[in-house]
Amino acid sequence: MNPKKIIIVGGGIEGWTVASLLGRHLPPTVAEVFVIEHPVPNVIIAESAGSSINSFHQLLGIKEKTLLAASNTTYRMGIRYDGWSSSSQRYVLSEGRYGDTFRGIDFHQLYAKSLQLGVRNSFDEYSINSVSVKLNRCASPVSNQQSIYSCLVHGLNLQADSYAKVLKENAIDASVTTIKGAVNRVGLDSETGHISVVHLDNGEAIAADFFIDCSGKEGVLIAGGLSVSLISQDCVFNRVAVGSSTSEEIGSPAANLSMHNDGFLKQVLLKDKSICSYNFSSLNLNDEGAKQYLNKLGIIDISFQDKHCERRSSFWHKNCVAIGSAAASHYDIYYSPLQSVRNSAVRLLDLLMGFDDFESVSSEYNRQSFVEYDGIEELNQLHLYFARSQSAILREYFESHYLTEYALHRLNLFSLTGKLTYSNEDILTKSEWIAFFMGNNVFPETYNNDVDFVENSNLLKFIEKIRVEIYKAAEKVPRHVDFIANVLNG
Amino acid sequence: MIQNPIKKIVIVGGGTAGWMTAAACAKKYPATTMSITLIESESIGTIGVGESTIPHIRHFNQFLGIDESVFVAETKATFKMGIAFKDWGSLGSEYIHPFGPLGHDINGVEFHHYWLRSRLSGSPYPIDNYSLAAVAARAGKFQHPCDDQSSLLSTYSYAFHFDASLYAKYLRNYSEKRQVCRKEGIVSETILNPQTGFIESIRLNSGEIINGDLFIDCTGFRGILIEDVLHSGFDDWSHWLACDKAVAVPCERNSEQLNPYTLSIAHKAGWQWRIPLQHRTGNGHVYASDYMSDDEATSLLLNNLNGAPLAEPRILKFKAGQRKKNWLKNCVAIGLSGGFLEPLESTSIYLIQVGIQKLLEFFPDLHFFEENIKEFNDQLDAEYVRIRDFIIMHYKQSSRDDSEFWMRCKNMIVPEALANRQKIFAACGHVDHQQYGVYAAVCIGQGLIPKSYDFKINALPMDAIEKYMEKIRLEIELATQSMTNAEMYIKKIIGNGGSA
Repeated sequence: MNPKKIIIVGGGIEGWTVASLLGRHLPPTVAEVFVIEHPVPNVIIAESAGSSINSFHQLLGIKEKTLLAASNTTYRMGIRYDGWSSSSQRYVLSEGRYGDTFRGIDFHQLYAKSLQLGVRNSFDEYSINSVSVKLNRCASPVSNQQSIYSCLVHGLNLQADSYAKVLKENAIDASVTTIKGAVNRVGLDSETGHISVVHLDNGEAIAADFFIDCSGKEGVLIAGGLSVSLISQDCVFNRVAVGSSTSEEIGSPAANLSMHNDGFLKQVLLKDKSICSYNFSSLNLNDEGAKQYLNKLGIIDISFQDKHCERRSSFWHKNCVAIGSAAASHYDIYYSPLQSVRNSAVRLLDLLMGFDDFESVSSEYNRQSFVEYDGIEELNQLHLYFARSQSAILREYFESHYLTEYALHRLNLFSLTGKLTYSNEDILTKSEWIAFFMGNNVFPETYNNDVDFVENSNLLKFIEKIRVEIYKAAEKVPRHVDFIANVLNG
Repeated sequence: MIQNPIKKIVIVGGGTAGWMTAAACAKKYPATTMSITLIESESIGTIGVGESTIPHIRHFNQFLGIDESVFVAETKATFKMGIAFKDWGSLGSEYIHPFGPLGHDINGVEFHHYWLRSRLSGSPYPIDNYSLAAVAARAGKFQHPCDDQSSLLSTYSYAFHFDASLYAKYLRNYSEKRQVCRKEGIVSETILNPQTGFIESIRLNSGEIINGDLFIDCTGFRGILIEDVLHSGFDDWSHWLACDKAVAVPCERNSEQLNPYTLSIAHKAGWQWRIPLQHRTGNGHVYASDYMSDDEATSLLLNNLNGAPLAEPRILKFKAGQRKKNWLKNCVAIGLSGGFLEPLESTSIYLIQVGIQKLLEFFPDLHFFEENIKEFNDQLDAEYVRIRDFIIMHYKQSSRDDSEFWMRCKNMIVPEALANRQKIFAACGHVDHQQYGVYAAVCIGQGLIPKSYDFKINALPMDAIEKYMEKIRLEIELATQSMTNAEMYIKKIIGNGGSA
């Protein structure tokens, strides 16, 4: 049997992410993967990735050391909310465990009661990851489940251009072939409506069995070829300023999030600089104003892009799947756009089971993608909702718009009872949801009645003991800068 | 907000659902903090046909702290590793839905794709031959899975066949030891709060009035609180699940081997269960009364017993479906009062368990927040629908056309989500892992063979795949030989009075 031919259009970080995974996992005897290095806009400059990136890199066979050596990479153990939902907020949201159960009772329920008993500690003081971020410390988890250090969880902060290089090398090593040129025309099969061939600007025509559109918002295949429409969504912060600020040394394993009157700022803390993106509203602030504002914050080298929140009406259509910004675009707040590119690539690999009949697998692919995008949108909505006090634009927006029914249910359920609505397809873990709410000042108004079975003095002793233990343990975690040096030397 | 805890739970109805709920609440809430009353009447019989379970029951017993060997002895239980389906996909066909995996995945591709490929090149072995649980069950072998994760003998799970009325009795004793107050009586009146419509108290036929904060309706099909009083409404699913009656009869255990699996035999207008206990065999015939008379159903059952009947056959009537709201105001329906699905996949007690587990997770306080109730209902509904669709699939995915009943199943329009899942499995063997059970084993067992397998396995040469599959089969055969006879194993456990 001749191998099938798969063409990825777009030689940006999205294209190379998909190419690496397919190249590694589709044996060349069954499918050959090509990347047409169609120019794509550099929308993604940096990523702060959660821990699931580690298992993706395992699928690709990319070692952490390679990434740390090549690409200005640092670790990320949490996101620092710095004046997001209130001006005094300094909170680190991280993955992994918060506190510990006591006689089978969930920790956050005990914490909810402790607040009523007058405890004033922030919820992030009960996470070794969050405390480590505050102390500029970082390490990998140990395997001994008894040890508190088995709870350490980290992801990575990456600079997009050098990270894309690592992915590209990895893809080429996995026998992915690159093709120079840009797609300027797409040929369809008149009978099936499938894409049969792409024409390049150099006159070359390339036929294939399956096409992946990683060409960015333009969507040369999904829109240009197959005319799948784009659906616009509300986008208050419709402009992005990207810049950087220098840093003296490696500091916190984190990214920072802050809300300002005209927009929100995300700073990914890399080795010798931070890469900053400021999403703002062009109605309130022009580019010059934004530049001056960011300069005052020490952010320089600023360039501007338009921002849209939108998604295709379908992502896998006929024999073509759009991945990344060709498929959908959301704000980069907590959940990074590249995370959904990785999820899409894994989803595609799982569902691409043959080339005869795409109809049923594509509908499942689209269903799963819609669930993920809805999840991202819900999480982003809640983020903006919590930031109302910091931004006049958001206050005004939420006067005429409200949260989706599902987001509202999730929020109300938690704020009344400390309980969670949850499905296996949720984009955050239960513990992340709890920590997200607590960190943004949504404290449960009531707690489970079994919490009252614990005497108040025992409850207070227990949670204070945990707090102290976590702090002491975090103080012994290596400094982030030393940990990186160790990994590079080890 | 002021913390406003529930202090009094009233459970109406004994039986399996009532006593399981009472036991779990008594375990979770110490008697000093919670008063629990259960009202039942000797004059109202319990349904008690749910004698076959799935592995989750073990978590429930663990939660209660019940020692397994005590449980096995007290409820005359036997072990099961799966369910055998005879004549389901077609007349003469047979497969086991095992409590354990099929083979194992290679390079991230699920085992059944390798099986599909080997089948194309002529391999004759049915897919359940690659499941240790299925092969051991057929051989009449059972022992507890071992702890060594690297051993094949650790890779299956198990559940029980047991006498549900003995279980209820055992849990009654358990509950009463933990100060659950049992009251003999029949509910004669329910008093509602005129403003809120919440249940304030119930009056028994003795005249006694019992107040409560939270009422659990375990009154069976009737749902005397959730339906008769609160009018929850019922989602009727009988257009998908046409069986509406069952005739049940126990028979003697003969000298044949003890089968560590539940047997389900499809008949002309329904199916028959055979559940071996230590002291007898439970039998029943579930049928659609539109297609078969009670007499015919009864004689069909009696003709297919493998031992002498021990009682007069008893006929039960039911309707597949679910209460529109299992939790309404301060009343929660658990068990048959909440919904009914035929026990084809042994899920009746499991659904009781899910109701209890979710109730404890979303245990209310006196505010009875609507959000909390909605979440409980949504999650429970999702579980009912998941199992409903799985059961419907057995009927739909059959090539039987030998009766009006089976023709009807073949032609019925199934729920859309199920239809999509079946379409994608039929096309390429893709399985959605949110679904219940070992999905591929049942689809393929029913005769739904995917049109193609995952092309990603084409990289492996055919002879390597064949060798690998033979290795799995041999390993399973050896493991099965090394296992203990299921009947001996039970005897050992009861004899020891402790764990084997």
